[in-house]
Amino acid sequence: MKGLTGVLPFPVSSSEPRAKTRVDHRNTEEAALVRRIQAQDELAFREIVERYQAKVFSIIFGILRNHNDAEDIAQQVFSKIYFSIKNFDFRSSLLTWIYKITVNECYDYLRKKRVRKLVYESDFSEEDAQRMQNIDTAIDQRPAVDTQLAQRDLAIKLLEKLSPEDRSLLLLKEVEGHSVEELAQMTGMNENTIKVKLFRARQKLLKASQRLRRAPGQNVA
Amino acid sequence: MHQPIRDNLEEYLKGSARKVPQDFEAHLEACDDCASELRSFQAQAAMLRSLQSSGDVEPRAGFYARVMDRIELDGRASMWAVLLQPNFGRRIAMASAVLVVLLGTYFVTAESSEPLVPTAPEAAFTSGQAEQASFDQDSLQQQRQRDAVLVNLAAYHE
Repeated sequence: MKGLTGVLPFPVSSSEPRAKTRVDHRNTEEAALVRRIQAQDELAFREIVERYQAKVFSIIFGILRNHNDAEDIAQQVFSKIYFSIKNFDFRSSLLTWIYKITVNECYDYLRKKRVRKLVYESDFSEEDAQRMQNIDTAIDQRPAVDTQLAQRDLAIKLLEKLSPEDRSLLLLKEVEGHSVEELAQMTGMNENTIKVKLFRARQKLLKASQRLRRAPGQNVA
Repeated sequence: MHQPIRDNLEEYLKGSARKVPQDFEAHLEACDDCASELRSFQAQAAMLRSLQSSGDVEPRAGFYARVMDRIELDGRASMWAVLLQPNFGRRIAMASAVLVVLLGTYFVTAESSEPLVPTAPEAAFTSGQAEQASFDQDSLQQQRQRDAVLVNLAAYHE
């Protein structure tokens, strides 16, 4: 299997359903709302916020599990939507676009948090660093208190290795529970492309996870 | 992963076993590699589902007002952020490079139109020789003048 994986093309099987009715994202009710925002209609923007705030909040909370962080990043997401909606090109659904922005913001936040942590740690004396390391080692040696939590952390870490597009696609499939057909409609890609992208993303995740298992405590990159 | 499994992977992972054709199961029974990779994908899917939000989580009341405050703040900040944008920096670097080239060209052409001033060591040596020659000639002339004065003085005493 190892030899064949990634070598064989991903053919379109005859039994496979072809891309169904392609949704024209330019002619939806959402598109009309987007156009109103692009024309500086603040009421339309308010409608978008009210329509998607729960969704955005729940995506962020699913990744970060912290109410204050979720609130802060949700505000950031809508601010980003406000400033960049003029560039929205209607190639995908508005939800897909918002989903991608939301997940990216979460990962940006995690990255900045990690950098901040590294900066603070660099201010420590050698003795402090040694003490910290001893504490970390002691914590690492404790049995996992919550497997679910450990799984979530691992998922976040591994997903970091994917491109923003692959990451969103995989999350939309597994976390949001969308079918391949729905994903095709949401993204404007055909079903076969979605399947190929999902398969490759899954393989990348698997490889990253194997690397992590081989070298625990090290970067998966 | 072999074709029958690959083609129906998403349906299978979603749990729609009845949508999966018969050759899928048949292949799984025959191919240990595919069965093992499929198990890994199943574990991975379960791990990803741990990111699902448990229960209803909603922002506190007044979220829209806070978003508008943030937008106002970000709008003000973004005016200054233009200076820090990589594109802006790139343009500044390009403009500086063009300016340096233009200034260089100007100085080179301006220098070549000025009267020639020796700068190379050889030229400096040649010019030094010329200066020495002119100095020698001057001192020779002075010597001649001095001799002439002496001759005059001697003639006067006689």
